Amino acid sequence: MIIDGRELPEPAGTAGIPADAVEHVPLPTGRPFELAAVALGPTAADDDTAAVDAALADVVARARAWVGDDGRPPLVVPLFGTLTVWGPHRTLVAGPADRLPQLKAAVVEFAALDGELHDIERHLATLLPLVDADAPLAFEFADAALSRRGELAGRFRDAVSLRRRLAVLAPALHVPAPQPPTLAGQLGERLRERTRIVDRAGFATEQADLLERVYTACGERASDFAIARRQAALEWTIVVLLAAEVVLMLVGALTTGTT
Amino acid sequence: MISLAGNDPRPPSTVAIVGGGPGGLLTAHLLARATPRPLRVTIFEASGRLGGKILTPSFTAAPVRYEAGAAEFYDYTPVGEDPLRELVEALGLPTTPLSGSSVIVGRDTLSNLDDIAARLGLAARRDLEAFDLDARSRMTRGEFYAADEAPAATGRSFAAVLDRLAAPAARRYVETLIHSDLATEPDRTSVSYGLQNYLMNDPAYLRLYCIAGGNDQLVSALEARIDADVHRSRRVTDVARMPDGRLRVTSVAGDGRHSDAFDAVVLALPLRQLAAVSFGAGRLADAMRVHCHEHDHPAHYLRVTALFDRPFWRGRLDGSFAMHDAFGGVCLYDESAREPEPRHGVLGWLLGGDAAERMAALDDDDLAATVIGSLPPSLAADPATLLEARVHRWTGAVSGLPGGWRPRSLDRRHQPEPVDHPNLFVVGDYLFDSTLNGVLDSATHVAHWLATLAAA
Repeated sequence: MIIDGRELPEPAGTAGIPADAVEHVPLPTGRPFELAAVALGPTAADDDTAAVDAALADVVARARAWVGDDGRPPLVVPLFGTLTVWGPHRTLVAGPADRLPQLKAAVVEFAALDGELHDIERHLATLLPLVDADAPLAFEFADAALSRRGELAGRFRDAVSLRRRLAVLAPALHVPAPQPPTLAGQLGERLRERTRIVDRAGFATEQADLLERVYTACGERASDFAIARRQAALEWTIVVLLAAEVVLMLVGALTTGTT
Repeated sequence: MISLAGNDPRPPSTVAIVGGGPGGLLTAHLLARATPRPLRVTIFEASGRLGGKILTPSFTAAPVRYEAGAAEFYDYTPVGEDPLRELVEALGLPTTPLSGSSVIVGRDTLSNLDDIAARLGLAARRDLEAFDLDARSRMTRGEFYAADEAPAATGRSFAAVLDRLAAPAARRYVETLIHSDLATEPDRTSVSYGLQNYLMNDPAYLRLYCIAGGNDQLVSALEARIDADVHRSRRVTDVARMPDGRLRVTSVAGDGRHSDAFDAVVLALPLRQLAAVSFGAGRLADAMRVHCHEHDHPAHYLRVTALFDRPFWRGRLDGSFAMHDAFGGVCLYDESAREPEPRHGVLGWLLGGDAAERMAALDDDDLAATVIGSLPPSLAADPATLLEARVHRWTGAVSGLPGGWRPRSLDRRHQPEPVDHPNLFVVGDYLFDSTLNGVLDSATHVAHWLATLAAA
């Protein structure tokens, strides 16, 4: 599978992850996401710590290979007898069978948040390089730029849209984990901490704010320029009319004088 | 001649602080900042060490430090201002957050509601959720923040609140969760203090942290900044009023008895040591007897800390600490979690309440063997990996009912005899919430009071 120009490692089954353990989860952004759930069996709760350690080590090794290295190594999150190996496109959860639904719910919720932020970051990455070229128009507008008003308005709409999406995302990122704690809440909190998603959202918000400020100013300068141009045209029209009136008056006066 | 007696207080210029623990050091530090002119401050410390309940020693088998006294600091910033946190930051001390949500009951480790439902049953989970909701409605975050200044005097004990837990397993879970923090039994403390110790497990109410490099960094930082004559190994035996209104402080050292006169005296002693000081006969002695009696709700701690050659519990014990239902409820600290790259494993047991008092009578080896043997099978230690164990006894060191059953005004709490001895003050965590934050509040109150008198 190729996502964002990267090829993910072996498909399920060949990396030791059974194909029937993998679900394809549709994320709101349309980004493909695969979630594997592996039951560790009753040994996870056993007192045979060596067996538990060996079982977990085996799962970690297989999960690392399957999740793959998407520019960053997969995040391994052991939590109260469960294990989550997180990657933005593939994630594996492992634990006692009765805990898998909670783990999956937490991962799917987090994947949706991470996917949304990732999409916002991708859009920001395409818009930010344009700011340097557009920034002078936020100070002074010129005739030559008039043809770019539509383009700038489009970027302003994009900036506002990104800022709106970040504003919608923020409450979900900052909501405190439920108390008394639940396993899903604890995993969600741990993933938020380890991926620094709150910090990333903060940086993205600053970038979106910058874009919004620049293109707001561009819009204001463009409007001012257009208004000034219309005013100038009106003033010249008045001048011409007044001049014509003066000429007509002179002609009238001369005509009256000669008769 | 200086007199602070009666209605004619005059500015003090010499102040004795009896006790070189956090209360005494903080009072000295705050006095220097609050007074318009320098006061001559003398600190008397009975032992050879400053810091009192803040103690960070090292093992002899390896140069590894551990907390033997106050294990953590409370961070109230989720609900309001936190002067202690501000002080720690102002002193430039780096901190490390501490967290833990696991409760070990029998052989089971319960880290969340899912574990509780699976191991204790759905009825226990429902009971706990109802209890939690009730606790939050009884004490909001704002009330939690202000609780130590105006403790609710309902006259009922916290045991009455626990009685609402119908499922025995749920009750055992809550008792285990809070026992080592309470350091006393639920029937000997107030509803307010019990609720505080339950709700502090929610990060929305309170967070925990320690000082990187050891909590005694705070003591060193304060000691380096205070301008005072510090007399170590000088035990104060008597405090009495002199004819001119000043107070005479009599102390004993290796070289004999000493007697010094001061314009004001601050007694920053744990209650048991305070009760051992003689105040002669008369109003002051009576007032101090009443003061000690009102606050005599001794709570006990016992700390056992073991050094292992590696942290064998990693992967099975998540976070910086967990609660264990052994000994009525013990806090199990992963002391090595405080270090960025620990070379050894350090596990600390904080026993509280009756068990701490009872077991303090055991010798160190028996104690270490008993607590290490109490670990559940999933955390069982290999005896061969044990390098050293240390025991620290804090019997009666804190109050299990800070503020008392009938809390008085802040002024009355800090000035036991205002008529003939308005220049004698007390400072202590037992006047607030039995924490370092509480002793800072207490020291702040007295330091500002003295500063006001000094400016008069």
